[in-house]
Amino acid sequence: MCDDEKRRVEPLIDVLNLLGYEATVLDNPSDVPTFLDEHHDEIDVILLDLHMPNGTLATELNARGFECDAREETGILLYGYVKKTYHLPVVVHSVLRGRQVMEYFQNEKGVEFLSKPASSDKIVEAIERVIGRRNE
Amino acid sequence: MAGMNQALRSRLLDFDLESMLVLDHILSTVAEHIDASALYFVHDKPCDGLPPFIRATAEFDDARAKEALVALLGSENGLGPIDQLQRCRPANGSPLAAFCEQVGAQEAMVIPIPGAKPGEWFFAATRPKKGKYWRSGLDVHKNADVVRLLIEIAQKQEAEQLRIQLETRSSGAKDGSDNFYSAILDNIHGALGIERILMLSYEKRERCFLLEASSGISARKTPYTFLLEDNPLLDTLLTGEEEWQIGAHAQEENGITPVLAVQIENRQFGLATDRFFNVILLFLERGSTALWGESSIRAIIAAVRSLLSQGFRARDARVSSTLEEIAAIECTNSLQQDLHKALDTTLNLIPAERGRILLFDEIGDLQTIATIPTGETSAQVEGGWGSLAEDAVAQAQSDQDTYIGHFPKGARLCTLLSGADSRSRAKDSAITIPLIDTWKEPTRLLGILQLVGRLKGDHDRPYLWFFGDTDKGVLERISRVLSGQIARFRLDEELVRALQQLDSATEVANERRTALNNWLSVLHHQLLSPIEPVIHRMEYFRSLLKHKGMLNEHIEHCISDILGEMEGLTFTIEGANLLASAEPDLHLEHGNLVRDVIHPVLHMLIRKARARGIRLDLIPRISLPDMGFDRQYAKQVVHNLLLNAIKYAHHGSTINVITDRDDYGPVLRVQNWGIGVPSGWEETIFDRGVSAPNAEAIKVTGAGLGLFIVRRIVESHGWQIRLASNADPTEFVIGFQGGQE
Repeated sequence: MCDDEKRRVEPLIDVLNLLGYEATVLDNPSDVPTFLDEHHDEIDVILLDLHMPNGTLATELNARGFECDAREETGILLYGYVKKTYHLPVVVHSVLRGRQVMEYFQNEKGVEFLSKPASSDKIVEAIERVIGRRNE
Repeated sequence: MAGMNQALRSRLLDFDLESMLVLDHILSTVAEHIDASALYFVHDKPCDGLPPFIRATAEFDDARAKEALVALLGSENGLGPIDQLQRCRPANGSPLAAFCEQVGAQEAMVIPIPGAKPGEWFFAATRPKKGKYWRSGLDVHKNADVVRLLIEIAQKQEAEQLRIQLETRSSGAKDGSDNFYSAILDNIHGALGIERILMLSYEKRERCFLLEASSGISARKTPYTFLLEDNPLLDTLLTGEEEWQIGAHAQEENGITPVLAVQIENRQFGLATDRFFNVILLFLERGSTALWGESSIRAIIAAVRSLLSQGFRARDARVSSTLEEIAAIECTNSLQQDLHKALDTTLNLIPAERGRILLFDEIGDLQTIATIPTGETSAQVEGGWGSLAEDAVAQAQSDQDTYIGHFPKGARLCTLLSGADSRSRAKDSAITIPLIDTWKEPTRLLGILQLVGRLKGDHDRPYLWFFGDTDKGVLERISRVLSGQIARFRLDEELVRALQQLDSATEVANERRTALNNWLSVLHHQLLSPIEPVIHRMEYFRSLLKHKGMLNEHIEHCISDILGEMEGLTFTIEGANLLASAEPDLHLEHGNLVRDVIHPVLHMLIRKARARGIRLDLIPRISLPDMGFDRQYAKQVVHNLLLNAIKYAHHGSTINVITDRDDYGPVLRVQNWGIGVPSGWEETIFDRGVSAPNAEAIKVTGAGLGLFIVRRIVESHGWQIRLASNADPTEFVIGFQGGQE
């Protein structure tokens, strides 16, 4: 999970742990590429917050040969990178409901978009749907 | 420019027959453009060998011409073929012979025009008795008979046109010629309808009378004085000293002066051709035309251009170059443009404490000065023009340098108004017209339009001579236009100021709205973000307690209440966000409305309803088809409708949520039995910030946003909502026709 407000996702982690998921939270989006390099084999799904400070993420991604625009939402940058590199399922989870953002994700197969607030049931449903699509 | 003027004049004075044809073409075109009933050019240069006594032309076919000549001459002797007509003497007792006898002439002849085309010829010439021209008085009636005879011939031959030019060299009015001419005119009037009679005098002791006759139009008598007194153009060009100067000039030029005669709206105008072209030159010189006559100039230019474009090439190089010179005139000014220019100038000056405008007359030399003070009240207008005129003149006196310009013929406009008697003179010479705004009550003075004049040099004419009723009429017309323009300008100014204020206010409002929207967006994010952790925490507790066997009914209710409140809070926050956004951003998912929306919302609100003794019933009359909708927003619709129903339903009543079908397709009905919605509020109830008065009466508070938000969400899905029934039950119906399937 990548969310800049770690404290707020801890209740969800507790729920997910109860349901048998193991979850790790990164609150700095810039750490995600390196974490993926090291742990991508252990990851079944990534939960991304959409709106986060991107710090040095764009520089990091550009250095890895992933050309991107720092003005894009951080969640979109990360999803683009994950889609290109490790092809992992993603659930984007956000308070933002911008039409363009939603249309963007609606046209993507490897991602589910959820509006905040969402119950843990809805989140788990979305996780299972996106993992299921990957396995199809 | 003066050199050019002189050069052109000399060319014009030397016009030959070809030039006259050119001018004839020009004048006929001019006549069309200025709505003149006729426009003629007459050259009094006698044909070679013809004494300038009686010269008449008529056009008709040879046989009729011969018949007419026989009638005039009294015999065919010597007449010969009509196209070989030579000098013919009248037979004894013939009308022409009788005429000779009556007038004391030695002989009379008919002579063809040298070089004339067949069918175009002069006839009837007499040689003066004893080599002198009409030394003594004439027998008016005898001469009138001759004229009548000629007219009869013309009538008999159905001539389209008969021109008679009488020219005398007499001793002026003493010889009784005025009576003579009057009698002729009277006779012609009786004999034939006269369209116009023009009489021009260009030398004190030599008069040229031109009689133009054509059929069908009533006669008009035009005395000499009428021409001078009631003819603004002549008044300007041919009156006073100038009249004689032209005559003198004509003498210098071998007595030849082309004369232009114009008839406009039953008024006759005449001027020497060189003067006429002076108008063009002045027009060129000034680059401006003014109050009238501009159309004539434009017409002349158009006529010359037309002539040249038709391939006309004058044999005389001087005529050619003159025509080309005229054709090259860039006539871009128009009366309207000039007026507008003057008005614009005026308008620009209005905000100043005092300003002036200049208007040019046709000659271009008359400058008028409009002094436009501001700030007067209508009371001063009621005081009359006199005081205003005096004030204006006083102002003019204190500001002499501003009055420049001059009249032709030596008059100048007010270069100096100081001096012992200037004030009394100035009263006569100043025309002052108030500019009054009649659009508003009470009427107010916008300014005054003032024309001030004086004479140049030692001339001692009353100023009023220059500013007659015509001038006053022109000024009054201008003042009306100016008043309207100024008043409109001021209204426009007020409008522009108001629009500017509106623009500023709109800009501020937009800035504030943008700031508010940004703030709402941030607030939306900040408020929603903590809700999800609360929900997840409650779900975690419920799962944990359940896992440990500690989840009883009471705890479950508590957790459900908290989760319900959290969801309600979410709806409130999302609703507030909707107020700021133009259109809801829908996250459309395909699903079943009952399962995914109605059930969860009913479940969420059931305890709230029960708390008020109200029962929530879902009545599935039909099975709603799966469709596309935004789950969050759809929940908000049902939530708001049910929450409203719970608020206004009577205690102990039931709220029905019914899936149904109407004429258009599947619908959802939400019914309650409560206070109802007043009649006439069926549409208004969905407006922003509106609460029905009966709701306010029972102190059920609300922001009046619930139904407004419902309608926005419903319509963004392509659905419809209406209040189907005001009371018992109060029923809202959502139709899904037009939504995504």
